[in-house]
Amino acid sequence: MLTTFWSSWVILVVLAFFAVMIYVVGSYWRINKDADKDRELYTFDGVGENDAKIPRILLLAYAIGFVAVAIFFLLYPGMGNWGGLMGWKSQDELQFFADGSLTEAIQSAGAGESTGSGAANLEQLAQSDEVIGYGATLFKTHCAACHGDDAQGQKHFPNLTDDESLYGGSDQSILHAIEHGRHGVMVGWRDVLTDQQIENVSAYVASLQPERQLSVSPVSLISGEELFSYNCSVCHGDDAKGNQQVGASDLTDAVWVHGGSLEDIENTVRNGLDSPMPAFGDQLNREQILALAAFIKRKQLQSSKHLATLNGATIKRGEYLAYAGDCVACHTAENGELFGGGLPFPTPFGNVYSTNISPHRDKGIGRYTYDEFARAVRDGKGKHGNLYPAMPYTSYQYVTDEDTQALWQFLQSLPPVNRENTPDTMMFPSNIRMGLGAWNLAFFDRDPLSYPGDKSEKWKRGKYLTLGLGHCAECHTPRNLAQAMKSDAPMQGNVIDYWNAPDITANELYENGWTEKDIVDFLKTGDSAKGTAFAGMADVVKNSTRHMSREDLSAMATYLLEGDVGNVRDPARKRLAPSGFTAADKQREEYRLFAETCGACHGQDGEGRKDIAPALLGNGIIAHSEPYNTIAVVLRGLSPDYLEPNRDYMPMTSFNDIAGDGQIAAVITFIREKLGGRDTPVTREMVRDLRRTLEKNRVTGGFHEQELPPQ
Amino acid sequence: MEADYNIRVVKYFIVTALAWALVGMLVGLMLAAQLYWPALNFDSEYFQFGRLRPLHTSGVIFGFTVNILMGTSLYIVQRTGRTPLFNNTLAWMVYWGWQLVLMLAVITLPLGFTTSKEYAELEWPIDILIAVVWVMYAVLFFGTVGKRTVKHIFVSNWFFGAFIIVIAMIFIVNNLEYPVSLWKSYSIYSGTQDAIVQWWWGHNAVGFLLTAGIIGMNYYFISKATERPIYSYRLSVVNFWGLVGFYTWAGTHHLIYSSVDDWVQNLGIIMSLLLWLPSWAGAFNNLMTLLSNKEKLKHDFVMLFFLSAVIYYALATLEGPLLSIRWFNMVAHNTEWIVGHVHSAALGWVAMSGFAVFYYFIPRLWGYTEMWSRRLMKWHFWFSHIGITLYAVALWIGGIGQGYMWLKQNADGSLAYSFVESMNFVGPWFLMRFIGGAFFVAGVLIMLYNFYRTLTQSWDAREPAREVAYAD
Amino acid sequence: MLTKEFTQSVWILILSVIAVASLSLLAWVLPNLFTKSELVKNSTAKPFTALQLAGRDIYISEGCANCHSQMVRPLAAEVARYGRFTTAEDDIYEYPNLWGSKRTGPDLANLGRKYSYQWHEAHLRDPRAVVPTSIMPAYPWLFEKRLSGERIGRKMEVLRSLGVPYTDAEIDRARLEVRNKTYAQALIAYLQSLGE
Repeated sequence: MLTTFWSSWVILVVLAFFAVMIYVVGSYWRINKDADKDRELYTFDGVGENDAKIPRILLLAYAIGFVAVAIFFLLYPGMGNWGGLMGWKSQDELQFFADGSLTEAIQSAGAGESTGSGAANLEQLAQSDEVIGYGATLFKTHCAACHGDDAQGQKHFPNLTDDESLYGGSDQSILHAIEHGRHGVMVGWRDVLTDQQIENVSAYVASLQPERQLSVSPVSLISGEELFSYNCSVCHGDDAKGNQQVGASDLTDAVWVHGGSLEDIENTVRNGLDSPMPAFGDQLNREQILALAAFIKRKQLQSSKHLATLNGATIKRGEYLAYAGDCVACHTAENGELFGGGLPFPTPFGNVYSTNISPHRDKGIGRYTYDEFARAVRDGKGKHGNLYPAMPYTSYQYVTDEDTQALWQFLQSLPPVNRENTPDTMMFPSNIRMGLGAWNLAFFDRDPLSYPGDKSEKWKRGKYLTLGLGHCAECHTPRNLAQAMKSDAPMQGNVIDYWNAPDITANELYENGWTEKDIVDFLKTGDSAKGTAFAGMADVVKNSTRHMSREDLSAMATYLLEGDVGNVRDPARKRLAPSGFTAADKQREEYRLFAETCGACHGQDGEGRKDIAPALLGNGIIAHSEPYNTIAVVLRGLSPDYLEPNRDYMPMTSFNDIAGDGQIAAVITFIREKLGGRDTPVTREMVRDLRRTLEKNRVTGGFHEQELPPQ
Repeated sequence: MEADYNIRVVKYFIVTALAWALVGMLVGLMLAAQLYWPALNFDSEYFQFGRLRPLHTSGVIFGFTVNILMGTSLYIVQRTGRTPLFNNTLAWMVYWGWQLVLMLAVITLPLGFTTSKEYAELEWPIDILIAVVWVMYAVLFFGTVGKRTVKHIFVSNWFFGAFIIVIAMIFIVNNLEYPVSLWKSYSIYSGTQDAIVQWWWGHNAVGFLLTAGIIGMNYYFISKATERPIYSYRLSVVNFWGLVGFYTWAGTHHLIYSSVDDWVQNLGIIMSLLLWLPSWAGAFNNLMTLLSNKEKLKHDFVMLFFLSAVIYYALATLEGPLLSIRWFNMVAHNTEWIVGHVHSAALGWVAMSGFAVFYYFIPRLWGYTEMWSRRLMKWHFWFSHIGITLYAVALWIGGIGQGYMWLKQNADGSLAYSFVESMNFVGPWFLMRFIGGAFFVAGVLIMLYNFYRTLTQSWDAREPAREVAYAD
Repeated sequence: MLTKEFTQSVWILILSVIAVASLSLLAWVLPNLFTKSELVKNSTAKPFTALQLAGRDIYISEGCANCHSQMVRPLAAEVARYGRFTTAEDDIYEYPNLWGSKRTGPDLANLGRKYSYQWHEAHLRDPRAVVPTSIMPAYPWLFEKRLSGERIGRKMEVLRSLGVPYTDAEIDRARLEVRNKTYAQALIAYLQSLGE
């Protein structure tokens, strides 16, 4: 509001202004008849100025304009505090309206509340398409930015479509949350617990989900459990199942609102949470809140209805097949949420990151149909373009429809993981997925597997599992420059991450003395008479093969031992027969070195020591025609794999800084001959070259350094 | 006496204006691309949309437009007053002073030194520099008008005069600020007061820099290009006072339905509607002048550019008053429609006028009569038209659709569309706008190439008589 | 004067333009400057805290106002979308106004508390992580740069002299309040204060 003085001032200035304008227009109107368009009044620099008439219409328009302005200012605000005869204010245009259609829809849906008779029944309201229509638009405007268009949530914002609810999923609780908001608070433990304690308790919390594979020591879990019962159980309960009274979450399930990777959990424990959900009671009326809640209820019903359509037995089989295909190992980041993706695959062209294959509609594969899923798995064609062959679709192509369907059902039954995919860092031009079409054309062999009639059913089953889901060839078959498997050298071994995925051709396995039982033991437990699984193979056993039945494993063993096209066993090959150390051997200089270094753990005769180190006598790696792994183990050392509690060996130290190239070559040659029966020598140059490669890539130095990221 | 005219400084201004036209529009094109491909912000502090946008507006307004207006005004004032510049040293101080302002803008805006006030983003030390340069420019211009050797002041000089005076007034009032440090200050006004002052500036910057100044330039050059007298002297007087009068009042149409008092909003609406009349009066005067030489209009691209500019001016000055009516404003406010409106005026009127003047003026300044290639002028002409059409149509559809979606309510009063849906709707139109902008910028590149070839022609192409009139 | 003489005398030209152009200044710019005291009297607005003020200056510096308005119009749809419409009393401490003129993104006048801190963090780091079709730039550097707090006291003193009622104690504490906070923390503190 202006003061009277300023109001009068405004009126005077406005009037003065119009007086000036009317004067200018008026004075020209009066003399307009004198004009002559052909008369040149002045010339400036050759630019003449003629004296045409002002168009009459302009003068008239001015006159009408001035009159209209006068009328306008009489009727409407404009002249200072004068409000106008119409009594109009711009804020009067703010008229909320509701034609009652929503109220009607709610009433006709038969929910009691709007008639005042008792509580609303959301399930009943959710049946009304009309109510849901209103709810859907409200959801998009007010909720979707956090909870996502499909209400499946994202990191820090809960999935509204599942049965999980921090505060219990009752109708009243949903309505309360919308109307009054929620405020999830957890204190940060940064100042109370040490970093080590936070790591331990987080590891313990992560371990509550039994399917999860964590690389943490058992000691830290024990400490974590103690810390948990001391600090966390007050809210989350002794069984960690949470408490809906205070909105403390259930930590034993796979639902992680604030991220479930070990890192995320540590972060939450360290910094606490302050996670408010705003109250919408001021912005939305009761009917709108009901419509919104009904929409959410509809989403929940849809999701549970969908889950109900999945077949329990098929899911179970799908889970088994997912283990056989080792899906989880690649599609889970280290210590991350299961199937949430994010594991890096270093390639010469940059990193490819595995993707989230949980049924999250925005972050995972929730929008895939079965056909799209099958195309991705078997043809390498994702919805966003061709997949990199880091995804072994070259092997999965052999998986049957029935098995693919089972896998699909299993994946759909999982809880959606809200983890965003990590963008790949592939360099140009390999970052253009279209180019992979050319790769597929050149290297993707689409011939189906052959199952010759003379082979046993067991062999056929073995072939299907080994080359299909098991995708053993992806590691054990050497690759060419374009990273495609060499089809003429199946199972002949390949170096990956500076370990050798060894030659496992029928010849090699036979020579080294592997039996069906050895292979089954090895795949089922990671340990066998022929040695233990380590490095990448330990992960395979841990995540995949140990979950498979002995029957399937022995089928695979049969296939591997009997061989196949291009991998035929040569009858001339003889089994190697290591002699062990004779009395004369023990006098040799090499034996002295062996006894001082290897013998302390592996036994003076290389027979191995329980709980300390495996046998070297008859060991498949020692006897192997390719000495790469033997040299690499000596240079790199090994860390325990936590494969099975209480069944681990001790870590093996790296001899990189302890023994010279020549010494290592001599000892390895010696033990290969005596304990493996392999008489091809390992030279000083072989050790030196491999050592240089390993050092250059910073993977030497044993288990201490191996903990470092490979960069 | 003509030998004493300072043409050299005019050449400097014109070439600099040409360079800024390209730079300013390229930055604009980049912004249009960023709106469609957000990855083009490159996660860079210095290159993201929020920092780059004032560089675009400053580049085209203070770089391109002010340079061309300073250049042409100093030329016209000398020739139509039959007198050399009042002071040559001052002229060069204005030139270099203004280029210093622009250089500082190019450095400080990407660094985030901004007041955030639209079209007045530059921080206080640069504001002081601008004020100083502007006063020097005013002294130079009016000093030269004062020592003219003809009785009357030519119509262009009234408009240039109004442009200089009003910009000085509104610039100083709007930029009163309290320094905190070398590159940070706070406006001395807050909230509604600040908004009122801001739009008194904001709209008058459009009215006097982009309108009055350009009109002044055009009165002279249209008549020159047409080789005919200006159609009506008395109409130009009514045009002049109508603009000076009504324009300064119209700014509050930017504040309709805001928390500013209704009476202030309504004054802005009324004056914006009345502004339609003097705007069309001016357009009519220009149009009649152009039409008085229909023969030349058929083939001369300078005249065709002028004709296009006048038509776009008429369209924009019709659309403007329309947009200030509450019913239209309700839908259009804050949408892409406004951006489209600004650009159909800025590209159609300001830039097209600029192109016409460049094409007419630059060859003659260097002693040539014609451009190197008429065909390239034709390409430029059509590229500009395609560009503006795509641009305006895209943002009409995008803007009106967006405004409609924001306001659309269901029968029960709830909102029909979420904000994200309105963004998704605009997306494709952003792409079309980018393509339109790309056409327009491509036209500028064609023009630059044509100038390059024109000015590197052999001396034979020069016309000796012209050399006397235009050489410095 | 306005019909003949101004075309013949440079002084009349100058003075008559000044006179006509000043009328708008006198009619609607000047009187509004005198309504401030009444606005202050009726306002419930609170001055920004030191951290919020630092955040607001980041908002200004990054040019957020180019794409986000802070002016909810008194229209039903607008109030339904953005909440309470803005009044003149709300903005008495807005030096300068940040109403903006364009909604490339939504209005932010009542943004405070509408989203959680984590949402703002995720959104500023990568808008497309939370709103897949967003075209907002990402602002990763806000999480790296930290405030020293050296200037904040002076800023508050300047604002106090312009009319914001900061106390000596508030100005004293300001440096410690913002020191070492990331730009993102300050900006989010400001965003969460909008419409409070």
